[in-house]
Amino acid sequence: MTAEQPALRVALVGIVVVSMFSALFARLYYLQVLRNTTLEQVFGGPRFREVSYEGIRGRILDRNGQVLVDNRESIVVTIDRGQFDALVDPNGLQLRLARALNGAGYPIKVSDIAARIEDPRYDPLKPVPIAEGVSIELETYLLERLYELPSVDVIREQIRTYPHGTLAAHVIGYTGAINSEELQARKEDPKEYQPGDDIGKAGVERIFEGELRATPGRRTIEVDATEREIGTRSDSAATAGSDLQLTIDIDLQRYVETKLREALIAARQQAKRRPTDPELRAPAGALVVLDATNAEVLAMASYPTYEPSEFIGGISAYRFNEMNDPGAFFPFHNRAIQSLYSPGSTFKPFTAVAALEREVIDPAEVFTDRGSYELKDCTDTCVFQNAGGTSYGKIDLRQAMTVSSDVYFYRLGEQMWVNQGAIGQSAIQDTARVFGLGTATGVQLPGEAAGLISDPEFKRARHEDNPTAFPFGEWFTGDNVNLAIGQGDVGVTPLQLANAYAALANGGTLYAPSVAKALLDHSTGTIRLSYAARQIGTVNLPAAIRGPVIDGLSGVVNDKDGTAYGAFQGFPLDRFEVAGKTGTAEVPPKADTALFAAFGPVPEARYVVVAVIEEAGFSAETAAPLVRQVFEWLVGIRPVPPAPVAAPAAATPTITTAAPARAASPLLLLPVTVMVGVAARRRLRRRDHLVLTAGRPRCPF
Amino acid sequence: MSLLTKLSPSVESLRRDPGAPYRHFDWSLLALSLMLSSIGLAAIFSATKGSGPDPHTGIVARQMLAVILGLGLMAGFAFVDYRKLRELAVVFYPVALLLLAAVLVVGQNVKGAQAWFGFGPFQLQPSEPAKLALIIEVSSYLSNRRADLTPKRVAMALVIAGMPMGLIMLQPDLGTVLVFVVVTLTLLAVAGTKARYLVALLVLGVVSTIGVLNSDLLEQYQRDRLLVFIERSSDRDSGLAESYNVDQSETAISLGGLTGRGWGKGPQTQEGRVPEQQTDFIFTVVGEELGFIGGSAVLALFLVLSVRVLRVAQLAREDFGTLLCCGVLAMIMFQVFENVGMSMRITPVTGIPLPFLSYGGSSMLTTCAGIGIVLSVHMHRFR
Repeated sequence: MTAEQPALRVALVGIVVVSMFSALFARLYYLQVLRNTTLEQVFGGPRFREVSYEGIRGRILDRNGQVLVDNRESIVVTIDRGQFDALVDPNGLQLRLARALNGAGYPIKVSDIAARIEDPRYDPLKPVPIAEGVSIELETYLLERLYELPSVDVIREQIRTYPHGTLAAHVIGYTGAINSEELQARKEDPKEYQPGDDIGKAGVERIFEGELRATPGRRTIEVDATEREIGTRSDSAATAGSDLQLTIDIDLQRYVETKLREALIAARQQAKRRPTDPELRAPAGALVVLDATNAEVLAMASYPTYEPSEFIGGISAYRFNEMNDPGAFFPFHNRAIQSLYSPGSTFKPFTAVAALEREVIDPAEVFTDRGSYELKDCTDTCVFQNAGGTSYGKIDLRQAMTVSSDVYFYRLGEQMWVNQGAIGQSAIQDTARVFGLGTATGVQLPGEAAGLISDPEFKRARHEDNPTAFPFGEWFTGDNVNLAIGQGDVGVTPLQLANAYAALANGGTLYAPSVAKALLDHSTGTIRLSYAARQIGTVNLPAAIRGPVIDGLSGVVNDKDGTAYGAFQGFPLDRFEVAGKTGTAEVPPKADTALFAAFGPVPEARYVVVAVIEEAGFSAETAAPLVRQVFEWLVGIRPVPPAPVAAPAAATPTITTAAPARAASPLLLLPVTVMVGVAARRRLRRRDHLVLTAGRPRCPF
Repeated sequence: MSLLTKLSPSVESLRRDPGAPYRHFDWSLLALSLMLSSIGLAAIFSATKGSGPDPHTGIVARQMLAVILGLGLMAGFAFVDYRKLRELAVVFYPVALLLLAAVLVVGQNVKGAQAWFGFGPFQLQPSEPAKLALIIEVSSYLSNRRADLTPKRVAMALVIAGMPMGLIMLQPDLGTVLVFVVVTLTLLAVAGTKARYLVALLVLGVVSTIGVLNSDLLEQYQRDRLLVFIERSSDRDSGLAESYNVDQSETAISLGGLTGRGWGKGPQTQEGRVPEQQTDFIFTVVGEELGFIGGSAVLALFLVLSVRVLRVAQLAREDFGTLLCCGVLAMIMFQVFENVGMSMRITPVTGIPLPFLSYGGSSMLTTCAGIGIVLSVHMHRFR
C-alpha cells in the first residue's frame, strides 16, 4: 500500500457511494414526483360514505286513541368495529367487557361478543350492539370506564314497548331484526333497509310495515383512506312513520281475552256425560267481535297467546320453538283467522238461505222430527240422528233453527241433492260462498287461512289426486246431508263465520273485515288516511228469505225452546235483542268444538260475536255463555273498570295483575306490579342469553 | 505565559496540546446520527401508534432506550483509541464467532431465521455486532504489514471473513451475509488488492450467488423474494404472494408525492398495509408521510454522513484507521442502498435494517458503535 493509493481508493469508494445514492434519488424522484399515485388509484371509489339512521316507528293505537304499541329508549352497549380491529389486545377487551356485563347481571360469553362483531349482518360503519336494554347503573359504570374499554360505547336507542302487554298480541304482531331474505326482498324499498333494522314480523306490524316504518335519516360522511370519519357533508333527518289506528277497542279486547280464558277454564271443569266421552280439555279458543255495519274488527282474541315484548332485542330460538310447539297449542297461531273449524249447526242459516232462495221448501211447512232421518234412496249409511237422539216433533223452518233440529236439515240436504237437476249440484256451497265462507276474508293480517267448502267437483278432484287417501270420488247424498248441518268437509275460520253472520245481520252487504281504521301523523295526530269499509259482495236477501232465518236465530236466544235460551237468562233482551246460533261440531276422536255465532240488536244489528272453543263439548254450556258476556259488555253491563295500566317500563301488566288492583289502591299496587314485571323480564333475558350462547345472536325470524 | 505554565502545568499542557483527542471530536457525525435517529423515532411512532384514540408508545419507547444506549456506546468507542481495537480484535472476533455458533443452538427462530437470543423482553441479534467484529479483524489483518497483498494474504482475509458468513448463512440470513460480502470486498479494495484479484473475486461471487440460488441452502421464501425482484422487472403481473410487500411499499412511497401526506396521516401506514413497516420497511413511512422532500432529506443526511466518514478515512493517521472507516462506511451505506432500494423496487427484498431508522436495538447499537469507531479515528489522528 503506497502513500497515494489510499486516497485514490477511498475516493473510489466515494464514487461508488455517490452513484448508489444517485440511483436512490432518481428512483425516489420518479416514484414520488413523476409517477405520483393518487389515493383514488390505490383505494378507489368516492371518499364519501352514506350512513342511514332509523327513525321512530309509528305507534299503534286502538280505535279510541289508546296507545297499544309505543317506543321507548333502551340502553345498548356497542362496540365500534373499526376501533376494535385496531386494538392491540382485542381478546382482553372482550374479556373485560364480558366481566362487566356478567357482573351487572347480563350474562354473556366472550365468544358471544366475538360472534356479534363478526356478524356480517351489522352495518360495518355502525357500532355493533352487544347487549340491549341494560340498566342505567351499568350505563354509568361503563361510561366511567370507557378509557379501559376502547371501542366500547353505550348508546340509547328506540325499541318497541307494549303498554298493554299480551293484549291483542295476535293482531299487533311483533318486530324483529330484518333477516337476509327480507332484506333482499326490500332492496328497492324507498325506505331503505339496513342489516339490523327492525321490521314487522307478524300481525299489523308486518302488514303495515310500509306505513309504520320511518323514512331513515341519511348522513353523508367524508371518510379518509382508512374509513375514518373526517367530516359530514350532508345530513337529512329521519321522518317518523305514521301511527296506525286500529279498529280494535282495547277495553273490549281486554274484556274478551279475560272472558275467553275464563270460559276455557270453566269448560275444563265440566263433567263428562258418559265416561267414554273424550276429555274436555278446552285448550284453545278464539273470539271475534265485528261491527256488523262495516265489518270492522272490534276485538279479536286467540288463546293461547304470547308476549310481544319477548321479541325486543331478538327472541331466542329456544323460546321461538316453544311458541310453535304443538304441545303448547301454538301460541303464535291466530286462531281467529288461521284455524279452520267445522261450523256445525252455525252453518244451518246458510243451508236455510240456500233452500229458500231456490224455493226447495216453504218456511211455514211443518215437518215432524222423530229424532232420526232415513234417506230414501240409500245403500250405505242411511239413518242420521239428531244430537242426543232428541225428537222435536212438529216443526217449521224457524223452529228447526231455534231448537237446532238436525233431522229437518238432513231432509233439506237430501231434497237439494235430489233436486240437483233443477238447482245444480252445489246449491248449499254456492250460497255459503256468496256469504264469503271458504275464502280468505282479506283482513289486513298475515297468514289468513282460506277455508274449505267441499263440493262434488272438489271431492272428485281430490280423489283423482290421491285415490289411496280419498277412496271415494263420488258425492253421495249423505255428503249433502252432512253438509246441510255444517259437518263433513267444511272448514271456516271464526272471522269468516263472523263476517258471514254480519252479512246476514246487515241485510246482505258483505265487507272485507278490517283491523285498520286510519293512519295518523306521528307528531300531530292528524288523520293522513282513513280506511273505508271495503265492500266485497252482496247477498240477495229479500224479506221472504231473511225474515224466517232471522226469526229462527232470534228464537235460539229468545224462545224457551231455543238452544241458547238458558245462556241468555237475565240478559236484557227486551232492550237489546240478540239472535244467534249454537254449533257443536264433531271432530272425533277429540271432544266436540263449541261454537256460537250471534248478532244484535235485532233487527238493526250493530255487533256480531263469534266464539269458538276447542274440545269443549256443548255450545249451549260453553260458547253461548261466553258470547252472552261479550254482549253484556256491548250493552254497557260492565265490571268496574280496571285500574290504570302500570308504567310502560313494566311491560307485563296482565289482566290478572290488574284485576286485584280494583280492590287495592292503585298507588299502592303500582310499584309492586312494576317490580314483578321487571323481575320477570330479568329472568327472561337471562335465559335468552344463555340460550343465545348456543345459537345465533339474534332470532332469525 | 511562562508564569501560567509554572502555576498550572496540567492546564497548560492541555492548552498547549492541539492534538488532544477531545479537541477533534467531529460534532457533525454526532449531529447527523441524532437527526437520523430522531427521524427514525418519529417514523416508528407513526407506524406503530395504531388508530385508536390513545396511541401506542411501547415500541417507540424501546427504540428511544436503544438510541440512548447507542449514544453511550458511540461515546465509549470514540474516546478509546481505535488502535487498541487491534488488540481487542483478538477477543471480539472469536466471541462473535462463538455467539453466531451459539445462536444456531439456543437462539429464537423468528420468521424462518434462527438469528436471535432472547433475554426476557430483549432480543440480541449477534450478526449485528459480528459486522463490527469482522470489520475490525479484517482491517487489522490487512493493515498489519505494509507489504503487498499476496494472493495468499487475500485468501486468508477471505477465510477470516468467510467463517462468520458461513455461520450466518446457516441461520439463514442472506441479507446480512450480503453486507459482510460488500464490507469484505470494500476492505480488500481499499487495502490495495490488485484489480485482477478483485475482478476474479467478483466473478467468483456472481458464480457462487447463482450456485446458492440453485442449491438448497436458501429457504424457498428467500429464493422467491429474490426472484420477485428479477421477475417483476419484466412481468409486472406475475402475481406472486411475495411481491405483496414490495407492492405495498412502492405504493406507499408513491402516495407521498412531493410533500407527503403528513406525519401520522399516511393512509398505507396508518392502515398497516405495509408489512414489517417499523423494521425493514421504515423508509416507506418517511416516503409516504414526508414525501420526496422528507425522503430525499434522509438520503441527503446519509450522503453527508458518507462524505464525513470518507473524509475521516482520508485524514486517518494510518491504514488501520482508513480501513476501519471504509468498513463502517461500506456497512452503513450498503444497508442504506439495499434497504431503501428494496422499498422502491430497485434491489431485491432482504431483511436488512435501515441504519438509525429501523426499529431494532442490535442494529442501532452496532451502527452507533461503528460511528463511534470513526469518531475515534478522527479524534486520534494526531496521537
